[in-house]
Amino acid sequence: MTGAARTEIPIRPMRPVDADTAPFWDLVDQGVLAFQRCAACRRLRFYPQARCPHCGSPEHSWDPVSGAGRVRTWSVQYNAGDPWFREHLPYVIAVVELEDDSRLRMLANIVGCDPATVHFDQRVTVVFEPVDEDRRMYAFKPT
Amino acid sequence: MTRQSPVLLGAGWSAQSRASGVTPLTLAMDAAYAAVADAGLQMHEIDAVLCFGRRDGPGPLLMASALGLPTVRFFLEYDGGGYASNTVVMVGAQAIESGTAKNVLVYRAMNGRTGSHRFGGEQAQPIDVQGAGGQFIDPVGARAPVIGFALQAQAHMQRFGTTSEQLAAVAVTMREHAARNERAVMRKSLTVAEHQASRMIASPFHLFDCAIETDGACAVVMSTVDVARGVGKPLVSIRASAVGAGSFPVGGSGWEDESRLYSYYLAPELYERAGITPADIDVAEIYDCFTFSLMAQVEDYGFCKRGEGGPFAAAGSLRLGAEIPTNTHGGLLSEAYLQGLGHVCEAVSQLQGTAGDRQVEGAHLALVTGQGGHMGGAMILERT
Ligand SMILES: [Zn+2]
Repeated sequence: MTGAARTEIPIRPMRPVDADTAPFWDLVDQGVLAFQRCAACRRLRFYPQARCPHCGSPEHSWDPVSGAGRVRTWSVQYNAGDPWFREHLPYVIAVVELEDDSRLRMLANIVGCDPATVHFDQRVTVVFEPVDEDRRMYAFKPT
Repeated sequence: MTRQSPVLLGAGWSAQSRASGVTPLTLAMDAAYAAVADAGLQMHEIDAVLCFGRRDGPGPLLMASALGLPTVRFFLEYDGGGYASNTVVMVGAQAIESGTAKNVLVYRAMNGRTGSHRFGGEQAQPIDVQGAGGQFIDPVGARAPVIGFALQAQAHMQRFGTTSEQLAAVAVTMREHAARNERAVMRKSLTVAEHQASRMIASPFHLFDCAIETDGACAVVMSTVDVARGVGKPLVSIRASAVGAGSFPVGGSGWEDESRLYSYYLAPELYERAGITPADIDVAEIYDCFTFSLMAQVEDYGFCKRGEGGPFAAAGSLRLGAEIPTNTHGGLLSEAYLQGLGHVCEAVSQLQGTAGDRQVEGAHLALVTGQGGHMGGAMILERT
């Protein structure tokens, strides 16, 4: 962060990227939700890591998914420590089960709707929100 | 080395407050001196020092030096929160059993309200940001521990019809018990209506579903059966213990049912090792970072059927004198935020018969648990 002026406008907290996760975030910045698919057992995995947690294989490809999913559980936030999220109260955090593999679940924000309308098994699809000129962040909105 | 039988010999506390005005080291020392006195020992006899935490309190080497211990044969600082309380006690017992050490001090100290360890405030410490989990938490605004449990509670409500009023009953019972505990920070009575009217934090949790934030410390002293006999203390031993962890409960790809805490997997293991059933337990000290975490564990540890924790709590079954007196000290929800070691201390008091106004008559077997979402630890303590 440079300059005093920028501290007045909260910036969305973003991730420190590492070598395991950089491909995932690079694709998010391009508006693509993709996961590693194990070349040996063919399972998709999340979170990104060098070896498959199911069979141990290091071989994989990055496979885009449809972005469709369902809400398994959710919580509406009325309190936030982070200044950016405090300006966005109330916001929704959900566990989204992805259509491409029901075992694949992501913690994500549900956006584009009244938080009070979020419900179990709600059908949602991925969207990408701008963070700054270069970066985007994934979220889901009702379909 | 001769194998020794470990016992929990004494428990001690610092003052518990909203603002201690002293360092965590001072709190830790207050608790240590109280526990050593309760154990009937002298401080210089302590030869092992163990603690857990998130680098928010004094480590064991600083403590050993501050307490002037002449010889420390074993020390450990375990990086962990409320799920670690039982683990560290278990390791202390193993140090005694193996002959590595004789008189073990276990403590937890922090300025949990005025210091760096906060649940959701700006001072909340970053979770490990390497690889799985951490770096996918902050960008969705999910750092506060309340969120994981809120997601799990919502899943439980969806699956079993659990209600917020039923969670309120847990909070009300904790407050009733705290009223009998002179140490407790929150002793004013609480009603279901007051719970319902309290502000929302993270749905389905209201403020009074959440543990209180406090400054304080507590400590346990363990030793051998021979030492306990020498100082004339009742023999409180670990009949069984179990710790475990699974994949991340939310947001990962390994957790089949978000409504389950790790206790779902841990409880059968614990009872099998102990060779007893839930009906044998006289008093339960169950980790209650949130009302839901206590309620779900009451199910998992077999005091009622899975999914029936809400009605069970609402019927008053967790009260002193009822089916299973639970958190007789008031727990994290009303006594103090001691991250589970307070539950161990309370169980020691109950089994030694020194719990005063909140004593469970003839308490012989106690369940003590620690709990995260996807990890936990538990012990069955026994007065032999
Ligand atoms: Zn594989």
